[in-house]
Amino acid sequence: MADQDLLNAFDDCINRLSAGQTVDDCLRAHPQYAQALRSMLEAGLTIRRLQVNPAEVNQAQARVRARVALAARAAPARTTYPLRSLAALAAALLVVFLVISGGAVTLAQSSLPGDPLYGIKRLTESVRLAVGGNDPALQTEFAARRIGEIEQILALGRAANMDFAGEIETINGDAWVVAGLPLRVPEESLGMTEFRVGDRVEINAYTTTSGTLIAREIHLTEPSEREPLPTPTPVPTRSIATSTPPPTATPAPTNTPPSRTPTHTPTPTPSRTPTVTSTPSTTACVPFQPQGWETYTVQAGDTLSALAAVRGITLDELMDANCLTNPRLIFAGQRLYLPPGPPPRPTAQPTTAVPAQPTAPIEDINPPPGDDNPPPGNDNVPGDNTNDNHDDDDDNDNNDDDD
Amino acid sequence: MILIVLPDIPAEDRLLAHARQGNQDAIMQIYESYFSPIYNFIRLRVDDRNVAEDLASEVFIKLVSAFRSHTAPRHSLRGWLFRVARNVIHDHYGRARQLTTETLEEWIPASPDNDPEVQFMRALDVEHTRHALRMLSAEQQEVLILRFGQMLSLEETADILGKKVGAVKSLQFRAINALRQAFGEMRMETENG
Repeated sequence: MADQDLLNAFDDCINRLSAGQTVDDCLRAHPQYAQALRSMLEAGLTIRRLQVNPAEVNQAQARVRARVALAARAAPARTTYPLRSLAALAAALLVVFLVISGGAVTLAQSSLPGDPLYGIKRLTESVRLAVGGNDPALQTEFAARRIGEIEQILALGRAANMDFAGEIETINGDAWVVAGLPLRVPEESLGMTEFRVGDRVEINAYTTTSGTLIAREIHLTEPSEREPLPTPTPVPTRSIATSTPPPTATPAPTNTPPSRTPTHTPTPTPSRTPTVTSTPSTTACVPFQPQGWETYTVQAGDTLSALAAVRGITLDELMDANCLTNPRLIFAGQRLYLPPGPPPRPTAQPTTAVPAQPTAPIEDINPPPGDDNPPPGNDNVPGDNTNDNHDDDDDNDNNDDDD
Repeated sequence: MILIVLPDIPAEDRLLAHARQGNQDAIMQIYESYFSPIYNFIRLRVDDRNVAEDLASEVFIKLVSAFRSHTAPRHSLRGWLFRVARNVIHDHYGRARQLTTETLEEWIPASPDNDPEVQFMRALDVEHTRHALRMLSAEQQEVLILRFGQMLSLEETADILGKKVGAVKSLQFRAINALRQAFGEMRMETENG
């Protein structure tokens, strides 16, 4: 057997070649083995010359790309409730039988979203509610279960979609606490509503594998009791027209007028909060619906100036009422307050000074509810610490070097 | 399984994090970065380019599955991919072995050199090398492809092959000498033939 020194020298020479050195460089470093090394290294170089024709590689890469992209698009990474097929109907019938026999119900009790029996657990709850006449005590119990389940799947680092309800306990920029759960609330999930601590809300959210709970949509079910505060405290402006995540921290909510009705009709006072400027020391702008105005949903191709013109107001008035700061930044699906009028034509207005930009913002915005898009992993852009580098389930932990 | 510490690539770790969350752009970026070395590796071990394409595709589809099932690596992605490539090749050879002939053009890299003599010598060189390589054991072929062809470190090669670094040092030594012997035998054949 060749001696260890030659093995080491050969290994060192391979490294040198990989680093760009020549065979001669290597032989100079190990002169005592020069002859053996030369022929070995030249044999090695024949292997290095064995590169596949780049044209073939590119062709293969193009052909395989479609298959891989398809696989990547297939089932989303998160789990969804399995409740929409014939199989689910059969499962439902099975559950009814099992409710009577009690077997699977017991097994399903501790299951979590993503577990196979979770669907049975939820179906069991529906059956119990139906049988019990929608007893509010039952509803409370099940609502509490949702919270518990979320806590568990957050701890497990499992990605899932969850609906839950509760009271808003803290609002701190985009970091809220609802029903005891820390929740990140991106700008897009807020819509036009102002939320306050104490409001009861229903939330559609998703968990990430890094243990974060992120809201998709928030609905106000019961506003808290409020007294009007004096003039609003200075707070950074809140823009509702941004479409690029992640937004700068949203400010703590300012006061709204005391009586809040579900249709957001304006308060009795004719004066309104001052409009925004870009300096953070000004008071916040709160969009409000002037008397007689309606809610309009922006279509692709709309521009603010066109909308204003057709409805007989100035661009400034439109922007003031809606607290818009950038006339170029609107997106399809956005809701604006506008005076009633004929719907603006969807044609582009080449002469307007303010062209809409329906390209990037429209593609990227929050999809409508119920859409089957995967959770926006783009939330975790570089710089957003997701703690992924801190976990220690790395399977390359041990250094087992034996020489 | 021998566990070896390999350096992390911070930018790649972030990409992996996005891919784990189902970010398709991240997944496809990984595909574009790693397809070529994986395909090259497979192609040197497998005769048929269609089979090589299928096997390469299998590797990346397994990667997508791993992201989805949360079993994907968090670091050292390259090593993981090569390990999977080894496995799919091994499984392939476990099934019916396919012997096809392929043309030399597939192996000649496009070069500015139009000199037919140079092209011919290069073609011969490549063909000889491939024949010789095929006379080696699977592990010997792999270590030479990874160390000389892919220019991976001893540690990373050891991780991919599931061996200790000392064992790989011996393996690469035996492999290169087996290759020289194969060349020598081929030379003898042509001389005597």
